[in-house]
Amino acid sequence: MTKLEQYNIHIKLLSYLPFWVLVFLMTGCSQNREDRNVKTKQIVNVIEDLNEVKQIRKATYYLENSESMLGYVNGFTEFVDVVSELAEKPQFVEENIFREFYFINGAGANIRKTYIGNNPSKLKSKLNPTGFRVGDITKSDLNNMFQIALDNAGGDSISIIFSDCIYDIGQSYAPFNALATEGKGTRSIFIKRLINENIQTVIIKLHSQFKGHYFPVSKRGRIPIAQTRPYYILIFGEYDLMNKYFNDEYISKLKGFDAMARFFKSKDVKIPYHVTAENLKGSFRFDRNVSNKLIEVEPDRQRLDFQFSIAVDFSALPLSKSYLESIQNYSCSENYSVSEITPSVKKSVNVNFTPTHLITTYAQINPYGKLEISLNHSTPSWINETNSIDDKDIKNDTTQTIGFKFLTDDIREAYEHVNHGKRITTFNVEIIK
Amino acid sequence: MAKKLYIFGIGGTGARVIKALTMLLASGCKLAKDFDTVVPILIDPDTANGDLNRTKDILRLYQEIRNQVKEPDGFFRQEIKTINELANNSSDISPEYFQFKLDGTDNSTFEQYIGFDSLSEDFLHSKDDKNFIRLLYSTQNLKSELKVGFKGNPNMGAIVLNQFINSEDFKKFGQTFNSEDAIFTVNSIFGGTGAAGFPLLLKNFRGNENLPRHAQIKNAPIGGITYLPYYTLNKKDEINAESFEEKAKIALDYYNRTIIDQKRINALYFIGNKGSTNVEEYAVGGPEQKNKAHFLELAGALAVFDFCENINAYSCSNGQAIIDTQIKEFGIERDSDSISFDDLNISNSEQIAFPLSKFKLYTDYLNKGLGKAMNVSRWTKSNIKLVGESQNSVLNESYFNSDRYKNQINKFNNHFDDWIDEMAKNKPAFNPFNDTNWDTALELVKNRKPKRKGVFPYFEKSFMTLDTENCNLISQIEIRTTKEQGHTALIKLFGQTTERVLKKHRLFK
Amino acid sequence: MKNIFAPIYETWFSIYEPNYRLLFDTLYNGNGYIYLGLSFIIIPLICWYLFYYTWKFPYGNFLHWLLWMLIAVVIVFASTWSIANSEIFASNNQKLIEALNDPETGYKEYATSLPTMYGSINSLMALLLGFIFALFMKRYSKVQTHLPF
Repeated sequence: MTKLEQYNIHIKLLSYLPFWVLVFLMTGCSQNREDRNVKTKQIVNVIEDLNEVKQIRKATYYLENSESMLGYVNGFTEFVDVVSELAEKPQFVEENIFREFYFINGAGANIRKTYIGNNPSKLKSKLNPTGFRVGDITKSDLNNMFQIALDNAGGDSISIIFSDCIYDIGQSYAPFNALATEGKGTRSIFIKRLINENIQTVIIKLHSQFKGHYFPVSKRGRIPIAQTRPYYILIFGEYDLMNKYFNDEYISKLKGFDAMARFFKSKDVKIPYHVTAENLKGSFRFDRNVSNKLIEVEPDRQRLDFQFSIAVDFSALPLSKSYLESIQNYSCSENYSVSEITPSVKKSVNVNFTPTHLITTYAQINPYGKLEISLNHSTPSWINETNSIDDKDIKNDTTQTIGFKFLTDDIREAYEHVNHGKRITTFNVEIIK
Repeated sequence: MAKKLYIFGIGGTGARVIKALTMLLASGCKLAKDFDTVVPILIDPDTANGDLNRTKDILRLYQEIRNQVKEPDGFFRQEIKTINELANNSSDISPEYFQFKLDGTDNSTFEQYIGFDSLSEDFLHSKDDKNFIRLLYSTQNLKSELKVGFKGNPNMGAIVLNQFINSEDFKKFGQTFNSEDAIFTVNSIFGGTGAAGFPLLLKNFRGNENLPRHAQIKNAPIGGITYLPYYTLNKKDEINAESFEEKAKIALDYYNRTIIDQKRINALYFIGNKGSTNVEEYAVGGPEQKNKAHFLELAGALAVFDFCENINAYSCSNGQAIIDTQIKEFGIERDSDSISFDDLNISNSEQIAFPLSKFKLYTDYLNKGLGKAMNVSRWTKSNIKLVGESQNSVLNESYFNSDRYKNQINKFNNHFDDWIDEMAKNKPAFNPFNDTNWDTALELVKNRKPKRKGVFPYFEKSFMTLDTENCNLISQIEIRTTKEQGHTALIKLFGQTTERVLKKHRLFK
Repeated sequence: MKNIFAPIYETWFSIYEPNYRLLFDTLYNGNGYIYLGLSFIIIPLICWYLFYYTWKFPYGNFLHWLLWMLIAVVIVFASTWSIANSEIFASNNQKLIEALNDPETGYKEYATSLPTMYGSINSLMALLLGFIFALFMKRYSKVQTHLPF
């Protein structure tokens, strides 16, 4: 056989190789067809399970029905409206999510959960002073309430608490010490749950007409009032579920909505970002080999400052617009500061994603270095504004809640603790002369 | 050892032939067979003779130019020296060194020269020398002033010329003669000086034992050209042109018996032109005797080249040629009243057409073309920045305005142009060149058109092509020179560029 | 080579606008900068080569030299303009095409000025480089050695 003939044979064998490989695979696969089917089913099940986790299976509603809450259900108030709305949240209805409604009052070992039912109509029928008078309306225990609610949150379940967030400290001689102590209890509760799970806490501040009695913390007695008063909805649930079912848009449309805050464990979420020349002062060039590296940076010749913007896509973050657009929530390294955060309206062809915001940052001196801009976990300002240290003049106070800061600080501290100082996200930009 | 050719130009014809030879040498023709030096010797009692002085001036200029050209290998490549230079090892240049002096001819009549008055008239004692002299010479002859020559009377010339054999100049000639050297004579047979001088010289070359180095001289190859009548005069007076032919016959008979039969000379060239001949202005010697250059003089110069070419055939023993004297005549291919290069036979044409055309182009350029290039073309610039010294030219405006250029190059070129013009106006005319201008410079040779077609055909026959070649070659090492050696640059540059241009345009191969 | 030419335009002459980064990245990645850069080198090189080594006119003077420089510069300008125009407006970069076709981005308006800017820069570079080439080449020229001086 000549060399050419040998060569031709080899070529023929090679050309048939894919056929044989295919046959081998098919026969091999068919011998274990049954096993394969089982495994496939298992995989499908897992995928289905995963899909199921991304949906709420159960929502538990807890309405604080202490005496201090009666004024919110005296008539058809915003409170009643919002509770009704949330009880029949369209998404819940659509997905036929199981809902349970409870009243909750009492304190300590005597904390009382009164099951209302799983029918929103039943709940609505209870949204009045008469319906509220079940259990021990003389006491309330925020810590236990949170504990119970947290216990029922996580995985595919969420809990919703409706409360005025006023700690019941009894007749304490040192009310603020008492409040602080209570707060620490709250913190511990949260820390325990957050260790292994990413429970997101949403605190929504709303206002409603209140006609009833206010029970001051700082002194005994009660004060009849008929005015707007703030109340709060706290929602606990798995991070992704909370983003899915309780986004900013939905929450901000609730009647009487004032503000909201979200607390969550930092997740390694990839936030797309890229430097742009929007609002540019000075000049620079993009390094072609390294992303977000600016070279030949020169400050503005007259003002000597250097400013540029970073386009970011915050859509993966569950934070509110106001949070994202608040300068205080950002920190910068080097000599930089954030000057503004604006929603991105201009189409940008210079980036590979659709930005939601533009973060403008500047430096007055020495713009060179490795810039880090971080979006931090921080307390929204409304929380400080909501907080009051004195409820003596409650009749004119339509926006504040005594000791509110203690509650939120402790929740915040709990999250800070579990976040180990991690920031929500950080943008790195290298700036070279 | 330098191999020399001594050329004796006797009388006006001799001077004119030597002039023609000088022009050919200036255009780059060279003697064959390693003759590296030409020693022209002019013999003429007519010291004021126009032709003589013109030739002397041309020779002087030739030497002055050539001495300033380093290793010439084109124009002016043949060396010309005087007896004075050879004998005294001197580098002095003077036109007088080209001429052998004849004593006692400046202010004497013939009768004074021969001491006629002192001769006896005693016929009673058979000592009537005076009357004897009267038998040989007419009263006119006796009263003749010798300073203007012998007026066509060789009988007078024979007497007067005899004295120079013992002259210092002739002795110096002998002293400088080497065994490899050769001799060539030029004379007219119908004149006075030439007719007498030629046999006299020959007799002394072969037989004068008192001549220094006579042993070498007597056996040296000797050639000569004798001119038969080739022009006539416009009037008849003391000198009668109608007697030229008669005198020629008598002289020829004499040559036959005494020179040719006795093998005194190796090669004898004859040339003349009967029939349609030129008419010269009548002049009895002096500065007025300035005949127009004639083609036959150029042809005579060719005889010199032919003689050298065949030098190896000319051997002598005991003052005699071993083989019979070679008699040669000159002819052209086509008889014409206006002779061009194409009318010459091929070998003559090849010999002179290219060199003369090159030199003509060179002189034409300096007359008509230089103005456009001066200070514009690179080859005339000496102040080019940011280049090596060798890139700057010495042929700048300063050079062309210098006395050296004007008094040497320009003057010589004028002589050349005059020589060409005179031949063109003579009869028969030698008119190988066209009148040209800047645009038609390369159409200078009759019957030959430049054939090269460049990008701009119009310019291809103008002086522009020469300027381009000058630019191309000016920096070449053999042309590069110092400021003081401008002639070297000029002569060598144009020697090469004219050749290139004429060849590129296929005017010559 | 693009890392040699890109800084010439972007850094030396500041033809760079971060807001229109796509244009410059396209030129960089698509070898546009190389073609632009070679234009101001090769064209003057050829022009001056022709002037000093093939143009055998022996009466050349400074005005001729100047005219030649002008011609070279004009050729460079035209060539550069054409290259830039082609590299920008006929590029294969789909993103750039979309950006140019979308008036909101402002790309087209900005990009329209670029060929002229590149042409001008290359003309200047051709002038400078051409002068340097001339000074070097004149040394080896035979007919035009004396130019420009």
